[in-house]
Amino acid sequence: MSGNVHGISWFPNHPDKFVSWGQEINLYEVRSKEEIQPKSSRLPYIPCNYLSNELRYQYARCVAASYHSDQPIIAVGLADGKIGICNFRDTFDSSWEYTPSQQRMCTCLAWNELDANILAIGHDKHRSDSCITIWDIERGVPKETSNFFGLSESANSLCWDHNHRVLIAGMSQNLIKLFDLRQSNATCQSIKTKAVQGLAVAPNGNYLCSYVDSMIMLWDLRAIERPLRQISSSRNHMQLAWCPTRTSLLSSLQRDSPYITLYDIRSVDNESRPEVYHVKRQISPFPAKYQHSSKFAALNWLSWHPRDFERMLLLADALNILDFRLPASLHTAYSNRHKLPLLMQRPLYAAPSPAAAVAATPVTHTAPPTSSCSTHSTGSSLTDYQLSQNSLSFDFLERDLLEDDLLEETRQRALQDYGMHKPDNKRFAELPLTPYLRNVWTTLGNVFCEERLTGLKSTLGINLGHTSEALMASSRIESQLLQWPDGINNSNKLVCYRSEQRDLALQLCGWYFDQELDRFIEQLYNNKEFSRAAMICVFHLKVLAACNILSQAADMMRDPSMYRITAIALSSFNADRCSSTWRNQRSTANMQIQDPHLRAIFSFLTMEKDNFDAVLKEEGVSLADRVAFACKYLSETKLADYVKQRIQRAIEYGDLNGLLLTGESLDGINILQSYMDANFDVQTVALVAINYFRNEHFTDNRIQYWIASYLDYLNSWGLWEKRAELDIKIENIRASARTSRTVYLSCNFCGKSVSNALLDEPRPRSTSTSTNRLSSCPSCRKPLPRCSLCLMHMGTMMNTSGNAGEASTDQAGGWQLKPFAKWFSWCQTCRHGGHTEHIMQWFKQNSECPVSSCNCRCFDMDGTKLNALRDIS
Amino acid sequence: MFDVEPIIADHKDVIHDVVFDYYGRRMATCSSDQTVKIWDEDEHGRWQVTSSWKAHSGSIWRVSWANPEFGQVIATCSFDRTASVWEEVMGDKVSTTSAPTRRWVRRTTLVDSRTSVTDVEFAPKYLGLLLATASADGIIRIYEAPDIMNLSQWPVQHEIANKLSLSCLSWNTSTYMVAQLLAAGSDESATPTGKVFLFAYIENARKCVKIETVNDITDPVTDVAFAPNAGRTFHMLAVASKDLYIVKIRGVTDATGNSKLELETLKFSEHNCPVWRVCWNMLATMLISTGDDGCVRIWRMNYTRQWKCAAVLKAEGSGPTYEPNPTTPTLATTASATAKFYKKGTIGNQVPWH
Repeated sequence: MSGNVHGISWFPNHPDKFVSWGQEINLYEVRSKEEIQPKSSRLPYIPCNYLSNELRYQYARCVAASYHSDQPIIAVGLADGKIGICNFRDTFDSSWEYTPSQQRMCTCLAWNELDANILAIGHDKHRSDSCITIWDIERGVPKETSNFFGLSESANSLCWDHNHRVLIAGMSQNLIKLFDLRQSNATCQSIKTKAVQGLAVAPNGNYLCSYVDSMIMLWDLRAIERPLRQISSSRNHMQLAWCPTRTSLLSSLQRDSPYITLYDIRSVDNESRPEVYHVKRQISPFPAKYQHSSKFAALNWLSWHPRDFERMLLLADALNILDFRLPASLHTAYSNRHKLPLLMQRPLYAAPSPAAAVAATPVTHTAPPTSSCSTHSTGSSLTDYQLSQNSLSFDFLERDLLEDDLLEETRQRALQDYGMHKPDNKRFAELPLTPYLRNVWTTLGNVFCEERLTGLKSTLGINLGHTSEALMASSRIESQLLQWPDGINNSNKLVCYRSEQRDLALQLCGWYFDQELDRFIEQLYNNKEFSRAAMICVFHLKVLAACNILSQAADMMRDPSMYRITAIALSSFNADRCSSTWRNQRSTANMQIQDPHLRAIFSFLTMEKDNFDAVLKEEGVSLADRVAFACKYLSETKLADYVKQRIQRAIEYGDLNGLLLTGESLDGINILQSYMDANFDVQTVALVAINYFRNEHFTDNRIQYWIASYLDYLNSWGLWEKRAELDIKIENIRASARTSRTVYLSCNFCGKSVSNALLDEPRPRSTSTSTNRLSSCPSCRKPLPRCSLCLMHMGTMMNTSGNAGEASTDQAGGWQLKPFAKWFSWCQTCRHGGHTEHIMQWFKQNSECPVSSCNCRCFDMDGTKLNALRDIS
Repeated sequence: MFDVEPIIADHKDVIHDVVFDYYGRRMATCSSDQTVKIWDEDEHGRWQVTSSWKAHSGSIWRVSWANPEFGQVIATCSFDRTASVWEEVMGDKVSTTSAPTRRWVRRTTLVDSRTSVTDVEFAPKYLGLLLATASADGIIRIYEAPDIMNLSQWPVQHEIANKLSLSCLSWNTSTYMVAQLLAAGSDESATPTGKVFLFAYIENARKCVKIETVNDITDPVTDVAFAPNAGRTFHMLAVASKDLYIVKIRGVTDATGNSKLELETLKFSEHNCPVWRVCWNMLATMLISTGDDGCVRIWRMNYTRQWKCAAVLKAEGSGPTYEPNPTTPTLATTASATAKFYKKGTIGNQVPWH
């Protein structure tokens, strides 16, 4: 209907009306929320009413909306140079048309705000005509010479200065001229520059911008000789405009670009002259759903709303008009708390300007949220009230990804003493752990014995090479030909291996023997691990027991079919008869039998010639069970291969279950590292290391790094008690490994350690002698520092008799208070200090350092309120 | 699930940076209005401005907290060509009951730069009290306070000159498997060369040198951020440019025993506008990026270890979301303790965090 649109413009004094031009000129009025009408609008992306159109002037070169407040008036410049004035109401009026003496293109128009009837017109170059015309539309066609400027030049762009007295024109591609119209023979000042396009004066009245190609020049009108700043960009500019509601926000549209580029121009006063800089933003106004379609490829025109804050009309791809408001910026930073704070700047314009207040019978339109693409078209007139109402919209693209947050999990687990209890502890059961981690901890708990995590690899003597020990180990293996139970009829032989090591390995995997097996199965049954119990029964060739378990389980299940069928199948299983059929169907059957344990049962029963791959590679069965199975039925070399292969796989996938095989070894650390790389879960890694890597590998750099990182996290959450508990645990390991303590005291004078002497005297059996010895450095005999309150040397026993009353109250606090209370503390700023108990008492009443003439506020240095830190957890 | 908390910052101009201290209990913001604000949580858990002062005579680009071990210390940098170090000191107690007043004192002004200082950041704690600044003329300066009790002395330790103007820098807080790294980005738009550089301290030469350029990123860069690394074999650097990038950095040792860096660049173009800021959470399991259009995106890794945009936050919804509270005339008001969530513009249930 309306055809292509070339440009759009708001009316400066009719805040709800705008004009679009192109093939024809149309006048629209934005609609308010109250009067939502049936889709009569011609413009799909903006809610507006079509008011009127102007058919006389087609394909206008340029259109300017005037400042008349009584009626919307536009000036139209045509390609043949004719200028028409139109108010969309009156019929043709010849006095409202002006044709220059020489026919050429009209290039630019500029209304004067002060005197709304004055229009400046720019034309292309002609040898014998001037290019700029000032026309007072009330006084008829301009004739006087004072209304004409720039003979045989071309006008590239025009604008009025802030006071609307001076006309600024970019001319002939190389000059900016300022015509002062207050004087009779308008003098002009000119600057030589190539940037003559898109002249515009900033709302603050000082800055003038212009562009050429991809370069923007900024000028200060008070000192126009030299440009203030030059801004270059990668694309050519098409249109520059200052945002009328900000002092110096410059917008630019660039060729073939879907972005609005905004330059926030600001200045700083340095010694001599102001220095101007800018902050650049690029914004795409299109709704997110169209951003990747080719529907909106480029922006062609922009018109700022004269009053509404940062609101504009945009023309995209010559067809679509969008009503767009600059989005408020959100600022955020990660705070290691639960909340993500979003900072919004309450903007400068908080109080609506008087003009806006008058005009603002707020024309609020809010697009219904469901409407297809008008998410941005809030046509509301902006008031302070609404600004503070800036709503936040939160679009979840991948909700489940947001839900399980490792960070919060880590914090919760730390609070519940994760890793501080053995897996058989009741507290462990309460931990919010994934089944995977629970299983890992249980397995590790089983394997850990005699203060050491010995992996099955070394238990089984794999990799020992051909040493005598290895030979001995293998020699002790007894193999035993097992008979398949009646009814199975598997013609393949089943060899079962046993040795001391293998028995131990089975035990470490959590399997039991002979008489205890029944109890184990029962335990599994009680834990509702029916299929696993059945599987282990079958692996021990107790098919009948397995049948019983499954049929009993089937009675308890909501969906018993699978167990029931398996039980029936097992009760009359004949391997020789079924196996060929079974093997043919295995791949499909494997997909259909969802329980991995049941799959393993059938794989086992139909195995061919001691090929147990189907069982051994059944990833659904826990590694412990599979390794136990391997220990029972694999020959020595195959077992070694299998274990090595599993270790490799565990390292590759970061599977912590692999620790069962490696134990505390370099391979074990590799598994931890690979788990860390995949899951970022430093907590589990550090805690596994603390609990189970307690011997020669504890000092490995990687393990130490993980532990240090984890302790740091606990610190930054303020979980100091938890951290201290871990520290104690770690210290126990270190002590057993005979690593030295971490706190030393050295003498101020000779630099030798005095802490040994101090700490080796824990029991004051002979108070007098120790007092003498410890009040001075054991090597150089210089005195140790004094407590600034009791003036006794460090190392002397504190005189508790002086405050006996207090001491008795302290008795209730327990003996732990005392060793620390007699310890020295120093302020790290003023270096004064003394007995901790004395210092604490002092600072209960005083804020300054106890040493006279020292004004240090030692106790406030921490900056954080004690209470505040306490409640972090 | 986490919660978002909108805060009206009441800066008079564009906010450029928001940072939290080590414990996440204090917040510092800086703005083009030349002021810095320090925020603390009140007893109801709401953020309140406890200090606000004019710190520079130009836009303040960035602010950085020192580790609390060194006291309550921040550094700021500004267009006015300076960077400053500020320390909070206790004033006198007005009365015995009330808490002593606090104020921030300028400890030093670093005036070495001849151009705008675009970024400032304290080094990780184990390096001591070190401060790195980047400036628009392409120079990275590393200052050290040799005496951590005297914050007025900050001699320049290293000066690294680059050809391109710099807009941002980030320390790698971890040295796990790599040497100490410092990354810097350039917002130069004229040349199509790599815009992110990695610097390291070379022991033999006793100076910091550029060891790597990320050549995959040629658009102007506005922010870089190293992910905290608690012991992964690889490091991650988030880069805000025309698109969002994550650079994986792995330290490898080649056959000759020379260690070098192996870089892998991933590109994410969901933002549809230049990315402005990036930041990581503590465990590097979440990346938060802010676009020029004010839209915040939250990135998580899915089960195949691919980063995916999990949520988008915009400050422009469809209509008022809650009734105004007319009795909040204070300048720094927290708009609401918790925002209500909107799913595709419809009012949803408030999701509690757990």
